[in-house]
Amino acid sequence: MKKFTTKRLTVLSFLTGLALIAFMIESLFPPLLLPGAKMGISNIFTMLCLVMLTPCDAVVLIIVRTLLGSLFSSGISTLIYSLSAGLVSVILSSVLMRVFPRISIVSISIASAVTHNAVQNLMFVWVTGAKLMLGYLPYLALIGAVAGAVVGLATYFIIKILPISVFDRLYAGLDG
Amino acid sequence: MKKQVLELKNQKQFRLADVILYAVIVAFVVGLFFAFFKKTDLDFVGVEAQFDSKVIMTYRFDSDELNVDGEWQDKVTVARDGEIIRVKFNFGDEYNVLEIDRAKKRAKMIAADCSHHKECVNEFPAIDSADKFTICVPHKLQIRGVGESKGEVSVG
Repeated sequence: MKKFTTKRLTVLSFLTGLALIAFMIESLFPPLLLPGAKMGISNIFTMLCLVMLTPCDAVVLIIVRTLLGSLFSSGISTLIYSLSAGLVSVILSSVLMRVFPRISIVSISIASAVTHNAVQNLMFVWVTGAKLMLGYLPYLALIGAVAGAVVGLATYFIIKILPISVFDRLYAGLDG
Repeated sequence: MKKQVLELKNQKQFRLADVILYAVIVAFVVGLFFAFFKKTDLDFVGVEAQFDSKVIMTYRFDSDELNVDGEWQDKVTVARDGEIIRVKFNFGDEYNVLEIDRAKKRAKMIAADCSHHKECVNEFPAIDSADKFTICVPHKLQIRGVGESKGEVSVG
């Protein structure tokens, strides 16, 4: 278990803040083709958190971002779907990253986004009893694949572009 | 943690192992289409409103007949303006307004004070076929198209 140092907490807070801002900005725009469908730009920071920190940190990020995002923007009624979908997808990403290290971050992001949309839709149907929404499930999965590719590529290029010195400074006193 | 970042820095965008994961994802999405995709061939004959899975209002385009469930008589108000019918569902201090256009055979939620985004008004498309629907989550209100085939009425 890694120590919860001030530095780690600062990096986690920074990523959570950025994720929340991205979530809030995205919520101002209309959905992608279907009700509730989004690009999920805030997930770039969740993926960065998974790569740069630990799965535990990514889970904390998801919980805080979803809770505050629901309070500030979409309303508390959406919390249960967003939180469950976020947690399942971050756990899946984490498992894929560790069990199958030969799979690229872009593919992991696609799998995560498809799972996120599927879980969110199923939770919505379970909570509201609106079985008609199941008709959107295949389309949401398809949109999730596209969104996941965008998020995965963004994460990939951010890590690629950031100079190694940034990570050297980040991990000084954080690793080990 | 740093090792993971360094690995990613040297990683290619696409790796051979990805093919397996892509195959699983494609199979999953195709499976969903097989399981849940359905195109209705029913005639669109009207709309119905459900609250908590109970039908509270029905409307038929051909007869212009609108029926409200007995328990909801004092919570649903109907205003007519030519071929336009506006049905207001009252939930205490909150409401949804459904506009039914008989001439165009379509229905659309045009107002609500349920949530910040008002998904039922802004995100769901107009109901113009038996397989379309609109859901207001905070009010547990569902509006759905009603289809008819060979003398039978079924909900699409």
